[in-house]
Amino acid sequence: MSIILDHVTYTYSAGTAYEVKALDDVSLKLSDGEFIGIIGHTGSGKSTLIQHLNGLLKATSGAIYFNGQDIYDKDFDLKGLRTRVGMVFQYPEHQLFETTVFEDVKYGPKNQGLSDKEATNRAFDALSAVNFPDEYFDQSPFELSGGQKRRAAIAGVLAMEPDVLILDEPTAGLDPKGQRDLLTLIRRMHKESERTIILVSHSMEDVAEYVDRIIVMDDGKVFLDGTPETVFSHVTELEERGLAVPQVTYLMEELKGRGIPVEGHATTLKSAKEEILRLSRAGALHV
Amino acid sequence: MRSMINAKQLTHEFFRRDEEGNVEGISVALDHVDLDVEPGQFIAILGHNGSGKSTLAKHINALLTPSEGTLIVDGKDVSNPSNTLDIRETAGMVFQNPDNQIIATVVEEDVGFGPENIGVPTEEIWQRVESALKGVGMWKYRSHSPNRLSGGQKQRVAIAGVMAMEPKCIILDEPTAMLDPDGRAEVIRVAHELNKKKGITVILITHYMEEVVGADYVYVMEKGHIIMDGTPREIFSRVSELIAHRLTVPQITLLAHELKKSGMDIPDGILTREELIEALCR
Repeated sequence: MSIILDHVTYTYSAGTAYEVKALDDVSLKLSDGEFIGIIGHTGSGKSTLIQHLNGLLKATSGAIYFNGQDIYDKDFDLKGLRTRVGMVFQYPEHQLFETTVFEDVKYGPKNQGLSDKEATNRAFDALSAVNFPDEYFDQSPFELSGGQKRRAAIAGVLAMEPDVLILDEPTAGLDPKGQRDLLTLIRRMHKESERTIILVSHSMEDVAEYVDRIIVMDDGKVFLDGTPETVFSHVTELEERGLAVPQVTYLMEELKGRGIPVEGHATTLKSAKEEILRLSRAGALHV
Repeated sequence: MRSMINAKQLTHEFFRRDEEGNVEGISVALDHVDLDVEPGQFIAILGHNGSGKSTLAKHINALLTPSEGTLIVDGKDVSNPSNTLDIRETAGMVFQNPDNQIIATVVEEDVGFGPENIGVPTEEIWQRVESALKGVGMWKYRSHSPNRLSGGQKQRVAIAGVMAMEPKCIILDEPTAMLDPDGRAEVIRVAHELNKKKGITVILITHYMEEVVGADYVYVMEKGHIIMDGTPREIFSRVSELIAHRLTVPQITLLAHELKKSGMDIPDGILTREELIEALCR
């Protein structure tokens, strides 16, 4: 499974005074099993980009290939693509609607044309993948806590067994423990299923901690694309674009600025801790 | 000096009802809470979802009244219905979702709606609108349509709407939960400015730890109780306890805590990068 974007441009309100290029000549290759973070400030093109990946928006120019097939080809099964590339929107719990959690999760697979029995199996698997407690399966989704609603909504997308899972700010509005639990769950799902996961986030600390590859969007273009270490070594360039680097990365940069021989680019708490302990043992913290 | 907000053994109970409306049980949202806020303080209330912090906030401007105990706002008892309107003019409230609080089609009309409603003379309404919008840095957007603004800008307009009522106290109930990092920073900066320049008492309810660093005093709530209180530094010295209560601390505080556990000589309650660098390089 791979998705290739070849010189994709998307223009809103083309030909009017309000014309905006939301995507500007974007070329990317997203490969099988990657865990990718997309960052960028509001209006940078993140949401427009992900809506192209499952064909919700059609590029003004350029091409998109899913497993080598042109998704804009008239023979391409665009409806099938939407279940193979599953999308969890912001505040997905607003889209819960069935009378019980279990029925809500079954809705997707039933729509895919699966039998009731198959849909039931899918719903079981999806709800257990998100650690949803089985005593609440028959509860109305509207009586759940915020974190549980969010997980039920994610299970609804997982039940369609997509090859690619896109989550648009999945932790927004959850409390810190709820945020940590959900990100840990997403990481576990990635490890166990080896499906491609794309996480759109505002939190530099979160993307640094969880993903393997970061795509930074700015003004409709891909501004940076690489591992957290490479991306977050561009401190000044990110700040000029209204973005930031993780707090620990700033700390290590400032230590470097004081003439302390800091090695590498720590982007997570763990790597910063190890580097400081190394410097401390080497007696290199006092200059 | 008279307290701005004084709660003694404040308790609030909700009846849980079944589909026919019969009482099934009682939930205690606030359980014998004591709290005292002086005029001009910047107070933060931390707690996870369902800890009772919003229920407490709704008492401060008399949207809810105590089941037991007392709450006095600027000398007036919220349990007495004849005080309700006075209390709502004293303590203004800003909620989480900016889209639910803005009603007019032009920014300045939205801000003027409150004072107009309480019969402020037209001349003075415009003075208040100007001063409120300047106070939150939104004066140049006065003739814009609110639906064209960013989340942070909308939330600042909502704060201006409260400011135009000239309250002594503003309660911000998770004002940044739906905003991006830039929007969050804007709103918190405006809250601190109003507190410093105009002496307005601020009650900030949040679960973002970074936002409470600048507060004078912090209360941590869980299951309707206040489980910790102190200055931000005192609170952030208790890292393990906060994590046990589903909360977290700023990444730098957590790093300092981890380094200390690994045997380095670092003081408790590190809040900023500068403090940690100071401690490391001393």
